[in-house]
Amino acid sequence: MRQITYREALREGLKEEMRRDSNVFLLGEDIAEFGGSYKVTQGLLEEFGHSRIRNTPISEAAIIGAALGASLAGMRPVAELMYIDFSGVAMDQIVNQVAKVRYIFGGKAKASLVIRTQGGAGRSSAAQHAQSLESWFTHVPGLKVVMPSTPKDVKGLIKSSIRDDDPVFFIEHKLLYNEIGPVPEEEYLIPIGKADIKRPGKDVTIIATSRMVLRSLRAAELLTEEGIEAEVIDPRTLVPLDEETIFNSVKKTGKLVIVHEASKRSGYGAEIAALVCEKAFYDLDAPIKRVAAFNTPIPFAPKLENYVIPDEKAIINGVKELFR
Amino acid sequence: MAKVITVPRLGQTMETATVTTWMKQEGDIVNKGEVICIIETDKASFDVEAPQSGVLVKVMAEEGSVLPVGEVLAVIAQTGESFDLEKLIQQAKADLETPEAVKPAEARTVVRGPLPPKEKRELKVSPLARRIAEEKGVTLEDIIGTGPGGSITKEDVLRAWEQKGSIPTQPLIVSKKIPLKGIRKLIADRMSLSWRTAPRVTQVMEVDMSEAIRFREECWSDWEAKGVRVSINDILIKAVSLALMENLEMNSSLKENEIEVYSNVNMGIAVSAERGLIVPVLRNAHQKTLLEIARESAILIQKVREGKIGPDELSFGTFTITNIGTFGIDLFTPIINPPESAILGVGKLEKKVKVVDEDKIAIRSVMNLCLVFDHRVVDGAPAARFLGRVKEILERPVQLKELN
Repeated sequence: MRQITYREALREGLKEEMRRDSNVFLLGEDIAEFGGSYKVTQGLLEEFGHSRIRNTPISEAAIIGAALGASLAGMRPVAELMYIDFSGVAMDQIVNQVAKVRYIFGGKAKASLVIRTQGGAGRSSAAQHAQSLESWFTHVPGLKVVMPSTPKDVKGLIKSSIRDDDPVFFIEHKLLYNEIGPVPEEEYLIPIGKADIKRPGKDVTIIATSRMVLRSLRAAELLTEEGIEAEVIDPRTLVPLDEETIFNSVKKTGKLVIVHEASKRSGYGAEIAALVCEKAFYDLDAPIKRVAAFNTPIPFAPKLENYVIPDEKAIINGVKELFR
Repeated sequence: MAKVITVPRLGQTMETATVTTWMKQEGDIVNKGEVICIIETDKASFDVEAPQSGVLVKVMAEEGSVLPVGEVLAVIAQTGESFDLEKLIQQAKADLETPEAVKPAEARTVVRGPLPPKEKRELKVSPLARRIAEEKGVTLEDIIGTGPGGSITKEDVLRAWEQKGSIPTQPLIVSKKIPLKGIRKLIADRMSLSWRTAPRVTQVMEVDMSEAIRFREECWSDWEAKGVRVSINDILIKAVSLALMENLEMNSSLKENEIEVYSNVNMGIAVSAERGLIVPVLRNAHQKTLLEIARESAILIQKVREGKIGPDELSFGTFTITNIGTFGIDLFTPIINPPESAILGVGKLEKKVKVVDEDKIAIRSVMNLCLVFDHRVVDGAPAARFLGRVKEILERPVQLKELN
């Protein structure tokens, strides 16, 4: 299978959906001529023109509000928030408008839009450009939250998100754009709400999201030297969550480690841990372990930044704690 | 107005009560007359009702604690009402008539002090390991854990199970655990006391009840006109009471170094209630007519069944009759109800072919009377005489009629 980057796969997904459905259009800051901060939309202006690749002013509230309006009028906009850190500016639009419209209008209105954004640390982008804020959005009923980790997943999921009639909050990672992976030539979709077992194993379940999937896979390889076969699961979508895949894995291994880049306190790992305690408690052979970032702002200094974000060593240590 | 609820005095002999169950919790709204908790004396258990409507603002006694009569159980107040708890308690204590009411300091420790927890090694067990241990019947206490923090894991349980020789199934499956408390505990204590202390002898005698049955049938309409239904049991109570008055040594208690022989018969009647076996006492049965006995025993049994029997109605028995013949039991050896000296078990009443009057064969209604007595108090011969006298009265019930 051909190998392409996460960025290319994502761009392919956008392109295919725009060709398939003329209602699909993109809007965001610097996404047209400049091709976006992370160059995801590079080259799309040439094919689709300014009417469908729309630059916006620096106003996140306006971007989301405009996208919602367009979706109510029957379009399928894909709005880009340059950094997830900036979503705070658009929070009323996202939480009180986008997420509520269908409910408030008794199902007569649809907010068929995708909010694309990216988060995560690792590029010394400092405290205001490196956060992992997914659990802000998983907490809001009415939003679907998607967080793909591989080129194949990001393409299949952006296509499903655009076709979904409900609003999807689509979170990429700034350090995944250059990651290379196999992506089929032919068209495919990946359903929202289906987890993926990235690596099968029998001794411990590692649930990881976004960039932490990659680190967990490397940690799992190193753990084989200790005789531990870890199963790595990527939920891919946080809302709706594929509980069945998680419970089945915990039933098999009896041990659960949850890894995410967001700070530990009130992170999505807490939700997964609580669910497992509620519904799979008697399958647990050890306490649930969360490996996550410190409860601090993301530091600018590279050494400190690396220190607060879980690395392979932290994941390995977390796993080994469950083996005494 | 805030009101304290104290342990009520439910009988002359009552000193303490055990709080068994709280039906309402602190903060609950209660209506007047609603049951807020259940207490138990050494005789039976009782519902404590709310004397007024309001909020149960304070619960002062934990389940399982033993409180003296008059001690504060709880406080009911109105929403938003402020009150001085100490003052209320003092007032309640002052109101209590009994002069020997417990010293406050002592009472306080009783109220506040929960039962001391049993000493037990704290076990860290993973939920999965605990589940597997239960399924396989493995005892966790003996396993050394190798999991995080020394916890017992699935592997540890399986290892222990294999070492045990892999007994494939759980030998005992516990469906529920009933705490030995309240009436159950009371029965357990009294029965073992009796079993430990009384060297007992059982004598069984068959009684021909045909005449007694005929007598009952003959009188039935008369009795019914007076609104009374006389049972075979009532006839037994009457007959046994008469026989006891003629054999007073059976109507006695062994107290330390002397035997108290009573000249009145307080007849205990064993009644099977939902909560367990309860023995209400029909006082001065020897002075009562058959109709009076029938009336009173019906009331006592009704009270037991409804859980309304008072401690005084359960005290001072001198002899007990227990009838499980109605369950089809031919004969049995009941346990003497301490401090009494004897108990009479009644077996199944049934028709049998008997040899009567100079070698004739007849169908007669017969049953077994099983007398169990304490040989420390009574010897075999007088006991047999007593039992024989009971038989005689029952077989010639005209004696009952005269006294009817």
